[in-house]
Amino acid sequence: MRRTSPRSTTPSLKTMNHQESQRPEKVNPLEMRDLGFIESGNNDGLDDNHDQDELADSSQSRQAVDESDSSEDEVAPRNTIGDVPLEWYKDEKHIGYDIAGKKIKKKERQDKLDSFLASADDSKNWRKIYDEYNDEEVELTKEETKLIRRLLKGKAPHAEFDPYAPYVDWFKWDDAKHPLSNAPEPKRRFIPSKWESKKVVEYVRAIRKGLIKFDKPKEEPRLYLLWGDDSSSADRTKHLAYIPPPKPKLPGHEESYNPSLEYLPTQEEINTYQLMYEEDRPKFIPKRFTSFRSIPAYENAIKDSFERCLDLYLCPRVRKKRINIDPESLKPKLPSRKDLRPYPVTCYLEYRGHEGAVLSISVEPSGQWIASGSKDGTVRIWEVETGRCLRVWELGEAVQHVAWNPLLELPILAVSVGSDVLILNTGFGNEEQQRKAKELLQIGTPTSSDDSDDISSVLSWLQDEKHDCIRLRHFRTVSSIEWHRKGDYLSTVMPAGESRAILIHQLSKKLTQRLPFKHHGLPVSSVFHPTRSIFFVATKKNVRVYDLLRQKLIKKLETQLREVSSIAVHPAGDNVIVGSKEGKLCWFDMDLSSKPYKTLKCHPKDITNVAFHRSYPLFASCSDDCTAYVFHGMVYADLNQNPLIVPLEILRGHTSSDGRGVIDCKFHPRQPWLFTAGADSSIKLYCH
Amino acid sequence: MSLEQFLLAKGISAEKILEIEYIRAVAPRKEEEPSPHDDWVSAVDGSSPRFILTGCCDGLGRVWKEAGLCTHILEGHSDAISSVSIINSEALGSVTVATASKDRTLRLWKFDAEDSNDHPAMIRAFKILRGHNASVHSVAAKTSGDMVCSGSWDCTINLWRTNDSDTDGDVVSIKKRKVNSKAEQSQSEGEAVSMLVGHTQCVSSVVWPQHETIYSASWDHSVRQWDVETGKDLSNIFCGKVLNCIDVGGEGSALIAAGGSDPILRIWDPRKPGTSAPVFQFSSHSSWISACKWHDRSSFHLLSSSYDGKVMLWDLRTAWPLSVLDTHKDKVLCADWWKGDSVVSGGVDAQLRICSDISIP
Repeated sequence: MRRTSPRSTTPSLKTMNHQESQRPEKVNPLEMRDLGFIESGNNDGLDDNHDQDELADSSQSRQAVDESDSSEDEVAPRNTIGDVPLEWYKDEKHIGYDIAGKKIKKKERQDKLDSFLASADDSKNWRKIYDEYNDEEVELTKEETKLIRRLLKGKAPHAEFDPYAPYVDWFKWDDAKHPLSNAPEPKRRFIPSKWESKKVVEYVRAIRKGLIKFDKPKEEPRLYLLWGDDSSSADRTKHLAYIPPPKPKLPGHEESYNPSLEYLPTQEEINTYQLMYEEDRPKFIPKRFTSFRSIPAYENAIKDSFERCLDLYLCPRVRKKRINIDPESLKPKLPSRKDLRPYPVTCYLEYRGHEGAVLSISVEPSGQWIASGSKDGTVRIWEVETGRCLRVWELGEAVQHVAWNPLLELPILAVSVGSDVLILNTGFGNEEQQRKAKELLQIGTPTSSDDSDDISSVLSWLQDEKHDCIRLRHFRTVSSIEWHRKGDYLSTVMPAGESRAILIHQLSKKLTQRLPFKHHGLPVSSVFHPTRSIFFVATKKNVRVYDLLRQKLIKKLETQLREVSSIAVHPAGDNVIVGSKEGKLCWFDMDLSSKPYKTLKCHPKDITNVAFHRSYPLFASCSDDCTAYVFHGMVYADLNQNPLIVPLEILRGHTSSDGRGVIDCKFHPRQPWLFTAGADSSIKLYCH
Repeated sequence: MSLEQFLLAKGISAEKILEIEYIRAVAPRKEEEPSPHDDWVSAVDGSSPRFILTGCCDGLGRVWKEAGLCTHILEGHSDAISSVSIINSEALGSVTVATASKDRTLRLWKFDAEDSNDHPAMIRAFKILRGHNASVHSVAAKTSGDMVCSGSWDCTINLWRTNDSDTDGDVVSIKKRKVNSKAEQSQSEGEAVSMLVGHTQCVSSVVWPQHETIYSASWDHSVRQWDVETGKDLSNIFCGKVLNCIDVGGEGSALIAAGGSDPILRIWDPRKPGTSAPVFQFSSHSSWISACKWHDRSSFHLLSSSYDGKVMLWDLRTAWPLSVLDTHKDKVLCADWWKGDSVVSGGVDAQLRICSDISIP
């Protein structure tokens, strides 16, 4: 609405010029009308400081403003043919088309004479203009003639237009961030202001003369509230963490000096208070006083307030941040036990016959027989399937360890009795196998005397006539025997044997050699690697791994246990489990590190033995707490994947005797079955 | 529970029509005297109505005419007998039987079932079948009687001819031996006709119910069906448990019953296509199952014996045992039907027990 006249008139002027160029003496009447409207709008704009006028004007100028807003095209001429040469329609009966598409007929043309006469008669003839485009005569008004006249003089067409109007600066210069001009910074900006320095000098003089006085620095209060809170009350309420102290309990009716009768305890009740424990006794016994005067001083006043202070001081009023973590989500994701079947679960068979604790069992490599050695001095062989005892050897001394030869075709059994190791012929196998076994168990010439080293003094190969076997006489008690996988070598461990604690015997040549390494610590057990010529020696603290071919130490596994009791090697050879006397089971991944990969603390008492299954991914540990644990121990061929260990089952059934529980456990070589030997002189078979 | 009590307990009106299904009770009415052995009775065969054949862990086979009456003792094995089988019992004069033993041999015996003395007659084997590399676990005779098969711990099944030495071609040597007392008997040795290889573990039980098919159960958890002519296994049912015994019978003589290292007696129907799931499972035992046998006339009845000392009689139509015989004091190692109305069983208590008068329709 506040349109300034020069802007809004420009388009009209332009068209006017354009049309003038065509027909200089003619003005489009529509545009003239337009101009007229703008005039009135213009008045309005110029006097816009007079609000009343504006309001009055606005009603009459509304339409005009509406029209003046739009361009000239909107006031449609009658003809719609557009800016085309009019001679195209010279020979037609119509001059063009109206907005509805109907032909506009040419008017009847007067002949020249008539028209001349008419024009001569008409006094207003000079005002009339023929509009060829719309084919009509237009009479110019007075204003329009004036306007044309002004145009001819080269002035602004409107008489009201003031070309020298005062300049109005519409732009707000104050907080413009960027300069509107790229003029260089004036010099005055870089030199110190003269006026400012004058002002400073003025102030300095005033201060010197004492005309200007400064405020004194505020004094810190020397006293502080001893019992007041550190934070102001406003501070407290602001923070969510602040918890107001609990209010002390308000006194009730019973604490009144003159309580109602029902609050007063009877004498009997007071007497019963004396029988109560001191903690249960009521702290306050209501009493009745006849007057205020007779109320004594409350003797616990100081104590109570002190306790209240202690409560406030010692009991931290802190909002606890509780982290809501589902404890289940912290557990490692283990596969379900159902998916890990088969594994030994229930005991169906029991092998009874021993009269003392069964110290060791060994399963024949085909899985048809098991041998057991007991504290009662017997070695027995049982049929696995039926539980029938087939053979008994009376050896007269507690049998520490029994071990079947790992070769199927060599049915012999190594047995350690005290300081002797007996190699027994079991009598199984066909005639050919028997013949070979018998041959092997004959000592032809005393070969042991040939090598004159220190071994002969501590060990002798003897022929035992009574049991028809070989007797290897050691100089100390033999605790464990282990066969090499090829069935020719066997190693014996004498924990008290010092430098000759571990001996390796060769059965075919009847030779014995010392382990060519320096011994560290007390040896407990020894195992051969299942595929390579590697030898594991478990001492009380550590496990040492030796390469027998290159004769050097490969690795030392640090168990971090107090006392190692047993060791077993995974059939692939890269993983070792070690059981300890404190009930811990360590799994070592030899490729990973010399530290345990996992330590399982499951048994409350000593672990007596650990075992791996030969083909199923199972391992077991047995303990003096009369249980045996079965675990799933999957070793992956992919080196990036760590072994998966899942506890599966606790096998119970043995009873404790002499503080010992399950002493030995061995897996069946082909079935997922576990044999356990107990101190209760029974052997149990747990099947899947 | 009487019917009235049942109605009250279930809150059923007496007006209502109830459908009552019943299974006839099958229970022995008579308990015969136990027949004592010197050692565990590990095998029994009651397929002949005239006698019972037992194998014992002391290596002797025994023939019993009736409870407590031993007529023959089969002597010769050097180790425990694990299985016995009657080859032909119809022959009037002499009866041929086979025994398998842990001494890796099978022996064939002939005796006259009719003669009876006060003292049991000692008999020696007329043929020794050698060839197994490990203890023989099971023996089964062909129905026609001219062949036996045996399963052994060396994972193989061997087929043997039972013909007499003179007609048999593959006799290696004939040894004449003086038997201390009366008769001079020829003892021949036989070799296996063919060997069925396929099991990966001990073959614990074999049966030869039809002319050309052998069924075997093994510790490698499988039941296999073998074609005798080609020596190939036709089907393989995988069970997941170690199997100790197998028998074929029942409806159409086609159902396979097997038991093993768990207390469940499983029955498969091999005619059912594309499945190896058992059609029936009976789980009333509490320990390993040592033997299972189908009744030879009824297609619904079978018995099973277990290490828990019980022999159970089953009807396929019920989930519970028809009757439980717990006369044994220890593990029952073997059991069989006898004469169609008795159950014979032997066990660790070294007794052969006969429960008779079982009425089976």
